[in-house]
Amino acid sequence: MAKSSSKTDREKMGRETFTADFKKADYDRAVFTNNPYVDSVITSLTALSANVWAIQRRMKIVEALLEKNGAVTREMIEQYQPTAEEAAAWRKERNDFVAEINDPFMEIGDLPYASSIDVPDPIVKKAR
Amino acid sequence: MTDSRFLAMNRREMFITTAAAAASATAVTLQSAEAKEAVRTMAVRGHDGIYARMPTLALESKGDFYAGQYVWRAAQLERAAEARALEILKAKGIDPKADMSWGEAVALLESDPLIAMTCRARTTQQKLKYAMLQKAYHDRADEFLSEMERADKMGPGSLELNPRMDLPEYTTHEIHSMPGGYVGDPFAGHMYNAGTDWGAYVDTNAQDGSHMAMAAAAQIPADGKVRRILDIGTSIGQLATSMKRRFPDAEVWGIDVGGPMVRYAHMKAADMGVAVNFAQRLAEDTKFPTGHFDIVVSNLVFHEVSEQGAKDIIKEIARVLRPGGVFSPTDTNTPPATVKAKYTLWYNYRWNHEDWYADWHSVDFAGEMRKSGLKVTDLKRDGNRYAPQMIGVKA
Repeated sequence: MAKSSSKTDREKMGRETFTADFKKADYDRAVFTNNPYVDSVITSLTALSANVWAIQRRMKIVEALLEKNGAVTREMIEQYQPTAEEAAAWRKERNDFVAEINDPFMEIGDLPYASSIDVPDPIVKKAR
Repeated sequence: MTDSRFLAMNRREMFITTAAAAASATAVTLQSAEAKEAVRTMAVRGHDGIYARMPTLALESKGDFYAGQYVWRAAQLERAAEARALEILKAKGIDPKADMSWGEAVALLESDPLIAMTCRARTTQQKLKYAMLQKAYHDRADEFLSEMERADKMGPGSLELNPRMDLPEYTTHEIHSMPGGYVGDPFAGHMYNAGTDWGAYVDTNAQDGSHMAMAAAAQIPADGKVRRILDIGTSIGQLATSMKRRFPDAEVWGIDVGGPMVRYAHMKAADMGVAVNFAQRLAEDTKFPTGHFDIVVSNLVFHEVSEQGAKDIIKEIARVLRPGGVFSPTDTNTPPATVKAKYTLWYNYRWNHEDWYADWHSVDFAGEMRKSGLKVTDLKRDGNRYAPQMIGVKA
């Protein structure tokens, strides 16, 4: 049995955190493709895409504020609440953006199709 | 707090006002820029419906992307993978509903790149969103811990924490790949709330929509008397607060093994002005008197519990229900119907770290309820996925 009070967290945070020691999982070691770097690239691309979307969303807010007020401050951007219409339109744009990035992952085809087809090009056939 | 300005404020607004007032007072001795910075870092971004918004726009926006990614994966990618699995099985002459083990299903399907992508996309999303949340809350740990410490002492409702409680080993796993699981990170509640907004409950979580529907579908005793309700494995308290909204005169309790979970649950309930009592306790040892409750509810608990834990919890539920009292769970187990469903369960078990999925599918839920003295009734859901599939009534 573990104790529900983690000494490590208490010492690190300088106060009671009500945490307990836990059993670390190994999800960081998961490889699903036939090359660990392909898995890493997919994760990296996803992280990049999330950041791109965050910038796009910030731009929309800046534009909306400029249109309404003619000026913006960082505080106004952070506090901005999209209207129901904006939220719905942005959700659609987000889903289109997500699909644009991710749909290619559904077009994997039949491996090893590319190397197995009969190539009629005589240069390719003769090339050494 | 005696200042009448605070009477109409919710907890979070009161916190901001207090922080701003403190910063203004300090500004007498601090440089004005420092005072402004103190106010700025304390400022939050208001509410979206019943919930406080994420602490920064960047976090909210990236989370919004992960929500979109979740929807794409769960709909488009999974549909394509289902079709691919059918093609593979057809080519091998295997019935899609063939009786086979999870391991046999994995051996058949795991090498297909499209099916593998469903796993990669899910694991990537879990990893990125939780890492982002953990960093965001830990970067401003003092601020968010102070906020919880203030809320610990506030009402409505109450909070009981038991830092010296012994935890069964099964409760200390990093379930569904959330860093620290339910017990190991001081911001487990914060991460769970956002993580499920952008994941399992996407589009239905933010205003407690799913949990309000579960509360509406919860079964009540035949005599109609509902004075005390218990939500076991309450997590961040969404079902408990939804039950309180349905039964405003009842005394409602939410218990969870995770200290950070019940702290967050209490903070959120207090923020909404909903009076629920939260306590860090074990579902298999609730400490309540025998026959104390009219209704016990649970949601998404039993698939995160060991086989022995599930048996002990069902026994404890039967003990705390009064004669005629009802156990109304939403998370009873249904065996996977297809080869692809078995593969998906394996993925969730092995790599999404739903470490107790296999145990869950080993438990005879109805049988254990009967053994514990509950009369089991199967219910028709009539298309309502939030309704219980079965209930147990205490004899």
